[in-house]
Amino acid sequence: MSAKLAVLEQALAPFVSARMRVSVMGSYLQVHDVPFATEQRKVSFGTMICALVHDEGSVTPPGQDHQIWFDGAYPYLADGRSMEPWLARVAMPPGFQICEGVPAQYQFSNKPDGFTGYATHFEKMRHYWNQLVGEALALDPFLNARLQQRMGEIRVATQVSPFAYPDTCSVRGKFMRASQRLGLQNVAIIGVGGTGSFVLDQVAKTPVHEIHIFDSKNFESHNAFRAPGAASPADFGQPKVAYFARMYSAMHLGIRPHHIKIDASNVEQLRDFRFVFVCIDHGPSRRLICDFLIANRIPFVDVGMDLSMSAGQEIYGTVRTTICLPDANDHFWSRAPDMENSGDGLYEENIQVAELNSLNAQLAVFKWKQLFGFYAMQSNALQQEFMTQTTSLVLDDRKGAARAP
Amino acid sequence: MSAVTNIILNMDPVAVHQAKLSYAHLVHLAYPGDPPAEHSEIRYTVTVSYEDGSGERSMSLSSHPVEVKEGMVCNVRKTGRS
Repeated sequence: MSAKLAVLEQALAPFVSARMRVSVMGSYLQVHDVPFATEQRKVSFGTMICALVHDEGSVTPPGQDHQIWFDGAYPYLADGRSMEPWLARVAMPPGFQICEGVPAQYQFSNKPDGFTGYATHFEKMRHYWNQLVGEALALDPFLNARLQQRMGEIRVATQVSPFAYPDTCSVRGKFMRASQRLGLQNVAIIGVGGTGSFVLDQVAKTPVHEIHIFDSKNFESHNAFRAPGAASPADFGQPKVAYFARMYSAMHLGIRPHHIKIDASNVEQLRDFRFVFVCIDHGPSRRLICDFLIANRIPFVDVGMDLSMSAGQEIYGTVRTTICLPDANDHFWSRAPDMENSGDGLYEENIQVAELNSLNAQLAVFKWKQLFGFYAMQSNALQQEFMTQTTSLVLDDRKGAARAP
Repeated sequence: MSAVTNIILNMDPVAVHQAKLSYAHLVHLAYPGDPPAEHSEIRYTVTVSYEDGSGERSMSLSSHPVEVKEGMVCNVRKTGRS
């Protein structure tokens, strides 16, 4: 038995002793077949759900988190009166799921008198159980005997998480469902230089199963000034992909480094990606890679900037983010440069513009998350240009709100 | 003789006589040594911001010409670096 399963079995043992049927779906606990009284004074059965934050070593007590979800009709008192205001409710939208496979119709909120926090999930769930089941028992004289004959049970659905530790952020924030939409099989980041490294910094915090990073260059001191985190001299001289793979593997278990430059001999490796971030400098490589992605109907984003020094010795320029979708690609080559010399040489001089690299990356990652349903999208501008000296974000190539497949 | 309008192009002041400017016009003003945009392999990112509050424009080769206004800020860039 895994350490995690042992921890769960220990924490959930009181449910089994109380003859309750519970299951764990990722970071949620479900208590099934909970009897309650309906408005028509009949006994019905529902499911109570609450967050269950746990890892290999322990289950975090609910503490102040006293709310639960309920999948079933709203419960009534045995005499037909509503349970409000004792049981405050929020109705969920039709078809709502807390996470994949965990539906809920209501969120409930009630605290016992003198509430200071729950030490265990059993204590918390029993509080709601006692109230709901108490009313059902009053309607059916045989219900108690049937509940006493039940066998308690624990079921744990093993979910494959790409993270080295639990995503407690999404659970506590109650946005697990939205987060799961980013659980793609894989994405590729081509080029982990200034902008690509910031793309990785964000994508590594999403549940994408595999993040493949491609770059043929080594990590040197000048790169450190355009990369997230703080590198030490011992990090210099190794392949960029090795440096970043090691750094981000502390958090994400699916980082796959490829110490190669994509060219005609190996572009085929990109065929099976669900999304690609193209973060390169070289125009002809952009032509090769993006033509391949378009031909193979792979959605992607291409980023690029061009900075110069003004007569007054100030830096200015434009940061471009161009999205390309399988059914919206006509604009792409009117926007993305494929020529050998694709920008002022100033950038080659390793100017410190990490915030522009980061901004370019954030715009790209934001659009990716929007296309896959994490962020709402009411307008889909495939071209975004940030002009530095006016602080303008300019949008174009609007294609309706078509999402990626 | 048409009136002169002062615009900012890649941070330099430029006086223009036209009432409207196309993508190709702006490219020529910014990079007079580059081939004409209509026949060029070079892709430029052309961004215009009107400083009178009337918004911004992004232009590609097929875009309609944009109105010229006093003080408009234009960037014509080759945005290939990352």
